[in-house]
Amino acid sequence: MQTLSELINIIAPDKANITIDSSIYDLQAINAASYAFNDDYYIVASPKEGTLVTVIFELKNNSSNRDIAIDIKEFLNTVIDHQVRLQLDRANGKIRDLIVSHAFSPLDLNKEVESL
Amino acid sequence: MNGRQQNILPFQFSRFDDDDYLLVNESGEYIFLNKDDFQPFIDGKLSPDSSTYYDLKSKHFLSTEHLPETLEMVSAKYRTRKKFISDFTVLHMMVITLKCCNDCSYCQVSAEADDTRGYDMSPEVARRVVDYIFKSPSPSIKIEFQGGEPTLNWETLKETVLYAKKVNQQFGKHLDFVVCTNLVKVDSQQLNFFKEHGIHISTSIDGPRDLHDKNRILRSGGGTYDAVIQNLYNAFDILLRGEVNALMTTTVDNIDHLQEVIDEYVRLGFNGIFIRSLNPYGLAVTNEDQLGYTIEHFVENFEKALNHIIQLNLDGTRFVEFYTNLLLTRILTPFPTGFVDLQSPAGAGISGAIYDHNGDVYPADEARMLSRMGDHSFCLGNVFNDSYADIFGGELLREIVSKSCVEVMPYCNSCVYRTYCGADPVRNYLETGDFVGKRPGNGFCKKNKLLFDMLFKKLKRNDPDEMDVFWSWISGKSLKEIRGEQE
Repeated sequence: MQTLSELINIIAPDKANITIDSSIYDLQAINAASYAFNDDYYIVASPKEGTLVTVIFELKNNSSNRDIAIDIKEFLNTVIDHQVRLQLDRANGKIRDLIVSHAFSPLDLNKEVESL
Repeated sequence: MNGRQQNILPFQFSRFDDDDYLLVNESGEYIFLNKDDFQPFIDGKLSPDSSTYYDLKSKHFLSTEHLPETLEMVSAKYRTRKKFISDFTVLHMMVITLKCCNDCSYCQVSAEADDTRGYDMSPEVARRVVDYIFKSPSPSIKIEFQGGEPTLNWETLKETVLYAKKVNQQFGKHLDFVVCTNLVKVDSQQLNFFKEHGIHISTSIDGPRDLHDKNRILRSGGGTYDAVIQNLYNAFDILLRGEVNALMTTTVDNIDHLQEVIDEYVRLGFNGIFIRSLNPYGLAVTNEDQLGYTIEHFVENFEKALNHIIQLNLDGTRFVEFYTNLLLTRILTPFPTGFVDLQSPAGAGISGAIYDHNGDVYPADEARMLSRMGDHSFCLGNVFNDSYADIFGGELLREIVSKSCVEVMPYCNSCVYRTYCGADPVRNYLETGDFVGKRPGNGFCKKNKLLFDMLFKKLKRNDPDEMDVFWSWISGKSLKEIRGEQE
């Protein structure tokens, strides 16, 4: 059985990449996770064959104590969290909009809920 | 819509500790879920027989057959949290002089020497500013005199108070005054004027003499502690205790001695303290190497100081850490707290505005400080050249507001703490060159996130003593009242 470490392609202590299937994880989730890591890394998501996407990491500061393999594992968990957020937003994003709209303006909530 | 359907209502979440998730929803309710409950919950497969199911339902994370009614409640709480938006604009800060007798090493405004000319607001400008202030639709107005040292321009301070009171006869607003003074040269005559007109004092004390005098020094040389304390006692004699407050600034000199700072505040008779970190403006930036510390160091010592304060309360001395109280009020109640530095949209311009000595208007004190550093990007206009509508309804303020809503800002939008947090567009601009800024690496985000982490660990632990102290602060009641004991 393949391990997570085997999926991470370490090129050098400051350079690595991982390939993610965008049919499982949305590009939006991959981008949101990348944003959280771009203080420490230069990151780019690059298309591969089919739905596969390779996310390339380069450490900004070579002299930092960061472990690129651990950070990529953390990145993958962050992708999952963002995927869950997307899934939830698809299910209840309209409810969130309703809450905010109703907070600031008079609305017939019964009617609005019916139209969901 | 199927009445029995389990509707998961909107929330933000984050992993918390090893095995738990923290969830916070739009109404500000929070709940900790074990990972064994989190997955079934988001899959809509949580058993209706479990206690977690009912906790989620009662806190509006889940709704079944009463969705409109539930949304009505959540919306009402959301509206209450955002009440500050309709109070446009309460706080008006007037920089009536840039002159100051002090030469504090972290001065954020780059004050001028007390014999310098050209940095005083004239009574004519002050009256014009007051006219603009009363155009604010807010039913409450607070005019805060800032500097430099505002008492060094006594004529304008006095004229502003008298003129504002006169103008207010027409408007009937709730009107407050605060003077931010270093208290070094404030005399009894001035204090009596404050008493006569209900003016509050906000001063600065960084701890006992040795700590205070490290950075709060006179231009002519020597510390200010003795003069400040003498005038503080004089102020206590003339004004009510609650009308005199103090702020401290944390520097490398007192960060490892916060307990001593707190004990000094207790000894002086204050009922609380705001443990405030350095802001990256003015001399605080120039002297950062001599004054600064890491955010992690600040939060670690903040927690130790908070624990010391909690113990003081448990030992019978009522004493509040004001920033903790503010954050807890946001976490544990739906009520707005009116703290302009931590709001969404940012309080800049819509909750507070600052008028420079020449009548220029800025959305925040920090924006004016930035202007002193040579960048006028945040100048909303001038009270002689621009109309109230141009200043407070113009493109610049609209842009600041639209780019300071954490609900849609990158990284903030998915942050579990965003319901309680806010944005600082001025600091974002200073650090990155745009109002939106970059997180999670910036100091503002890092500090508040670590403080929220620390407080939520305490809330999760749910220690009865700690929670009693917190609720006594939030409710304004005594610890005994909270515990149902006789006074």
